Amino acid sequence: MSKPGISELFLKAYEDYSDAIFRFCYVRVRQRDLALDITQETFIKTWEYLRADKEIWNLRAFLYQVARNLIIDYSRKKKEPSLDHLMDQGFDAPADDNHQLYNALDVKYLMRIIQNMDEKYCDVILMRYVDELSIKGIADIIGESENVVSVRIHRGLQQVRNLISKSNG
Amino acid sequence: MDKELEQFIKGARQIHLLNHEKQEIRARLFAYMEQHLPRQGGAGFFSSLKFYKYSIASTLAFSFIFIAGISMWAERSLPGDLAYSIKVDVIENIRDVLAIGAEGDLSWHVTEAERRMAEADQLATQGGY
Repeated sequence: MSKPGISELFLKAYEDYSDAIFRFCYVRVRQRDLALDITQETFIKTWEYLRADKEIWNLRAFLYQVARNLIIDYSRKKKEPSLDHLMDQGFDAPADDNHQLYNALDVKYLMRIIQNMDEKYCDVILMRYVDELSIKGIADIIGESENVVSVRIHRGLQQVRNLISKSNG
Repeated sequence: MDKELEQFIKGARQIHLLNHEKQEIRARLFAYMEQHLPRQGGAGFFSSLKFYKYSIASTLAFSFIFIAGISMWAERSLPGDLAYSIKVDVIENIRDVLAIGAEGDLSWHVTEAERRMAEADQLATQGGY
């Protein structure tokens, strides 16, 4: 990665991947402010790495890995609150932002599904179908083989279907 | 893609940064980047170059002192000494190669003969023969 282009490359990565990184954080920590903090910290740590002229062969995968490590650090520091607890407190939906309103019901519904999914399946399903990462890209991020990723996607899809069928039925 | 999965993905895609959140983080990243500019790779390169320069210079100096010392030790050697083969096989061969032209060759061979005679004298003085 050449030094003169680092800033441009980094800012472009922010524009391209910040939503995905935020989502990746949010479905795990389930607190919007915390997910925002981790997203910001992910990019700061990545910038620190880049400015030290260290080699990053896949910036997108690197961002996910940094976010993942930060979430693990956070989980170790603080026990994760349950979704029921969050629901009791009131869901941490975003404030009105002109035309960008969440459909809180959909998100609540989604979070309930995710809450009941195995994390390893949830990770790959979101990366594959929401962030549209390739199998290889996912394999690089989670440090597993492409076969393992494919199997997890297959099982994850079954789990999503079952959970949705149950919640609808 | 089945309906359940579409529903799931639709929900997931609604999770994203809001405009103002994205702008705020971008602004904070900008500020951070300005305070923490990319480290000057040149400094590292030049400092390593300096290091190599000093390493090369010290290696050359050490080599020069070592070779000069060996040469001086060998020059004073007599037949039967450990350094005599260095004197005859290395130093004198080099001088032989460096002797330019017929005149230079002749001059060197005369010197070579004088050196052998001087060695013989020294040996005779020391009672070696």
